[in-house]
Amino acid sequence: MTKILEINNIHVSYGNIEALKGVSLSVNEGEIVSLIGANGAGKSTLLKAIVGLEPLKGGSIKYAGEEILSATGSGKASKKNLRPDVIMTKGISMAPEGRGIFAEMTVLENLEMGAFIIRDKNLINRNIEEKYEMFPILRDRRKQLAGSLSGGEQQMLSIARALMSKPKLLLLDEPALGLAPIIIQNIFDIVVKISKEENVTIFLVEQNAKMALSISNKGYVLETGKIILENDSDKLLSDPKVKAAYLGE
Amino acid sequence: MDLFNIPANELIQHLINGLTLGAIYSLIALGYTMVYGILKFINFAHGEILMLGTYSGYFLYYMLCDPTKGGSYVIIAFAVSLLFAMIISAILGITIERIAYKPLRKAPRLAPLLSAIGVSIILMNLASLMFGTKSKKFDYPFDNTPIHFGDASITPNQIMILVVGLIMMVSLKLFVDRSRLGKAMRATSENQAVAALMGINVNSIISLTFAIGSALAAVAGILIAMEFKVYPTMGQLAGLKAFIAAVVGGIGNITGAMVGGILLGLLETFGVVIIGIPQGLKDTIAFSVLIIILLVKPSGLLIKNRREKV
Repeated sequence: MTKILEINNIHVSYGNIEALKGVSLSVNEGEIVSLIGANGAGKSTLLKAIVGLEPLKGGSIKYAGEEILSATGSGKASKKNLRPDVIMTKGISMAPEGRGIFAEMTVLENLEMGAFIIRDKNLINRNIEEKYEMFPILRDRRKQLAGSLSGGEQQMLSIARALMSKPKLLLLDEPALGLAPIIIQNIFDIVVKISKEENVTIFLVEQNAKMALSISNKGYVLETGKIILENDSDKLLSDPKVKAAYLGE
Repeated sequence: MDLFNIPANELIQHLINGLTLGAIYSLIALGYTMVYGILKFINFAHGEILMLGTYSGYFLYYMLCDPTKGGSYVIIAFAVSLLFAMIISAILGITIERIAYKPLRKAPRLAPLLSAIGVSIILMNLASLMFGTKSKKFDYPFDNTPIHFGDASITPNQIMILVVGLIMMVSLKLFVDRSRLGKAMRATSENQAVAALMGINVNSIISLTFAIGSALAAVAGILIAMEFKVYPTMGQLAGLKAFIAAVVGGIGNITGAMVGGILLGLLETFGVVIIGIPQGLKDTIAFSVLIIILLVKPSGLLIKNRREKV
């Protein structure tokens, strides 16, 4: 299987605090890969690093075989690094932490922003129509300000918006955060559906380890900036360490 | 009907004067509010961008024609000069942002603010040095004899201010609300990081914002120049008043800047005639309004509730 994303020993710091201390992982094309970890483990930092929002202090990131981000030997981000908006055009799309919807724009405008890089109006309209079919509630709410949606609806909008550019790799940052259990189930069903129907690889970052591992092929466990475990998801689910620390059993 | 013992015809006259003044404030206020919307800082060099744009328009205008001769050629020369002033101001706005503000984007908020004040002082003194401190007359490209209707009158320049102001504001509103780039601008103003995740080049959007705001300031500058001449400090008071207008309407809000400008223009005009504030103290009205707004509704008239970033 070809690797769509390869992260090689990356370091990211905020001031003197090292948030990622040499993280390596890879994501195979067509799979759902999950990264689980507690609050403050560095999960969101990792996703921000992949899309170029946090500069690397060390290591490199390859997407579809091409090196998109790296750091120089002296611990500075390379000058050749791509900007986030350029990385996005390569086919990486992210539904950010805390949903990150544009609250003062309508649902429709949010979706249009997701398709900012597409110039073909007909194609944009077709994509919007597809997303409305996937999330009928968004069609009903299309003229409302996104800020007026409920948490679950905002999460759906965030995912739908991330899919508007027809990405090859979708990064999801804690889609279950702050949602009611029944809605969480709904969101994860949608993630599985997207993976099957949209021909997109999914890299999922979650605190809800049980949910994330139950829908993914492969899993990584991140603890204070380091990968401490990696395995097939079903094996992680029965791993005693994971059970004790993340599944509350 | 006599309102406040002012005859109706005089009331109409004051209304016209207030609206024209307000339209100019609005045009300038838009630049402050758009930049604030995206970068959350006040571009205190905005008045100087206005002034330099006006000078460049002034020089081209007098190079192309002799306005006192009149005729259609003068009007064309005026239109070309206006466009030229807009372009120069836009380039200046973009350049200032690149040189003086962009390197400070991650610095504490006070740093770009001080940098802006510095740019403002530098540009004002540079203009005094290059063009002299003596004010220059900017002739009307047309015969500005007032047109009388009833007992009130309106000058052709006032008509132009109202028409140009209206066209600029309506097209800006349409651009921001409907166009792809306008929407990208709003997205960037809400969340730069997420806008970048959408594939929006945030730096280009910031440049575009400065370009539009600065071009509008140049238009306002030339409209002012014809009424009050061109001089190196012309952007100071106009800029300050427009800044107040932007705060009154709700800084960061485009409609707010338009409404705030018109409101301030009307208040200044009617403050003098109704309350009887002496003409010399006219400027106190704007600052009093600022103080009242900051005390009563600091977020501005058009912003419903202030959302704190969590």
